[in-house]
Amino acid sequence: MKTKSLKNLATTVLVCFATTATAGSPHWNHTEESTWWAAEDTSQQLPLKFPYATCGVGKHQSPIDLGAATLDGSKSLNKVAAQYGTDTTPVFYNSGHGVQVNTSTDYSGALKIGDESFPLIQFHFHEPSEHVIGDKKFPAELHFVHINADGRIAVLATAIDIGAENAAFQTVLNNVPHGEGERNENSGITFDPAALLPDLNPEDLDYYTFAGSLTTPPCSEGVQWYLLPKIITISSAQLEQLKGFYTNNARSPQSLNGRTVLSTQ
Amino acid sequence: MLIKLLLAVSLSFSVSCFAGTEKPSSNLLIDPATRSALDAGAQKKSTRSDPPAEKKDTQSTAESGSDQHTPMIDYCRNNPC
Repeated sequence: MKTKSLKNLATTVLVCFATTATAGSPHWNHTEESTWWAAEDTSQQLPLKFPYATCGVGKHQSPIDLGAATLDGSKSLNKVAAQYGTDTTPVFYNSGHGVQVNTSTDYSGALKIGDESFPLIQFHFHEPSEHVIGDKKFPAELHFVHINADGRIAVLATAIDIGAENAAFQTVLNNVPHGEGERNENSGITFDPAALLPDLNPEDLDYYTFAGSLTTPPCSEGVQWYLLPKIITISSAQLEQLKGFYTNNARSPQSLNGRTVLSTQ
Repeated sequence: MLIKLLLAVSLSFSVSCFAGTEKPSSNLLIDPATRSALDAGAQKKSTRSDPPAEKKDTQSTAESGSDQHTPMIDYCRNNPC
């Protein structure tokens, strides 16, 4: 009962943030990251003083430095399966903040966490990586964003290093429009997001998990993160192509505030 | 002399081969040495009360009784999230 009430409260907060942000998103960019919390939205009839306040005062913010975290591999965790499959009409989207691919509305691919299903809504890229391990950053990071029926969010993330060329990633690069806010809805391309997963058993993924937030405004909390222990590669030429869209679109690591990172390994 | 020359040529060839390969140092997010250090840190702190483990949630999506479209989905289709 208590769990359900907490879930409802979390959903209400998330929906509230989402509605606020959709209704009149005030401008933000990654170079002004330190002042996201202070942004004001004067487009509303009742101006919103600090619509992104959570970015500044939240205690479970993402990304984090895994090198500073306490890892606990002793707990029994949910089985997590990436059950994606081919999307026949993905939407390649230049969000104005990054390279993104939205799944079609009838796409049935999902992340299965225990008995719950979290449909895959979109995936996007950051350059460089948002999660770090001490001083170590990866050249890029991929986030698969899943949202279940009651609005809870689970993000599956994998770090990207320089190495072998990645054909699936090239398909994304070739189809995302270069204009900010533009969408390519009729590419005629079919795409299986699983092609971007590292070499792991998709039906029983190993992972690091912790409670976090969206890494962009409104920085809403209640997001469960699943970081994959293996990475994927792209070529240096592909990284340059990604930078041609957006560069330095990564939030810096946030305080752990006592959070423990749980691990399946 | 000839042997030395052959050795030098083969050595420089193998060095240049490795230098030209775009290969990540490891395909792991956290290298084993760092992981051991982090695990050791966790053991030191194990005398503290542990945070609640992630429970195996048995609540199904059907039980939540909501197949309605959540505004968060629209938000995340228009923003990075």
